[in-house]
Amino acid sequence: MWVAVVGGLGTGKERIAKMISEKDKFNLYQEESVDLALEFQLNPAKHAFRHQLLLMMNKFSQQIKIQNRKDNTNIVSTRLVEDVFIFSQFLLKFEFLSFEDFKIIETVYKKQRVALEPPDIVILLNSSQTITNHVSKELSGKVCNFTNSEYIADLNARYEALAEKIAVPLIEVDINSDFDTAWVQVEHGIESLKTTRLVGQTIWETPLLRGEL
Amino acid sequence: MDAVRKLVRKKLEEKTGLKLSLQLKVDTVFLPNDVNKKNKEELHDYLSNSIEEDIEFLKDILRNML
Repeated sequence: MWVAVVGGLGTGKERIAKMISEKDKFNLYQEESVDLALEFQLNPAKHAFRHQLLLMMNKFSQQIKIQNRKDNTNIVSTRLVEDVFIFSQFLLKFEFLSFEDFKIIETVYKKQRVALEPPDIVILLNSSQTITNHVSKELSGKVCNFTNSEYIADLNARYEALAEKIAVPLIEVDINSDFDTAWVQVEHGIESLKTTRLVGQTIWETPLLRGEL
Repeated sequence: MDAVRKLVRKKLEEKTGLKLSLQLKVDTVFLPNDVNKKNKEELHDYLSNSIEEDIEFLKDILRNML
């Protein structure tokens, strides 16, 4: 079984993924570090194109690696290529990416998704502005463009649309409450799905991920 | 003048070689079922360190992927 954890900046994707892997003895795939991450935060307009391409390249190779495992081992991963593509749409909206560069990223994404298989379960961490603002203060303070209320509202709307449209079993977790409560939601969601027949339809066939919403 | 022409030609050859090399990396990093690790690392390095002018080559290749 392959579980993917998605959600906005600072929602605790890595923390949740690690807890699942420890509890259920899943193999854990975490995000590979990307050069330019700090540069991107400090100057998103200058580094957005390269940074997004690096992220998509890393996520693609990670997803291919997971797909090619033949031993049916349980795996938890954070973020998907699809997740990164959603972020690219925001970079376009905020004019950190030119339309031309966005179209290139979209081309890469369309090519990649043909080779990708869906995860068995997606865990969506639904955050509020409060949480991400708290996180942004701990960061350099330069990432405010990705934590302002407009961005958070739009991001949550897109993830909520994903929750409605998605064809893969999805666990939506309200991460606004205390973390223990959120964790109970994750555990309960996974347990209930273990007894359910998993459906293998692709999530990227949704209008959301085709960029039509 | 010959020296200038030679220099220009050398630069062009370098750029052509770079483009071919990048095309190979893109083909084996973004498209296949089994991602080539060495090419991925090299492309990662290229994206992280190249000047903007050279990134334009990569954009050309990626534009033509479909």
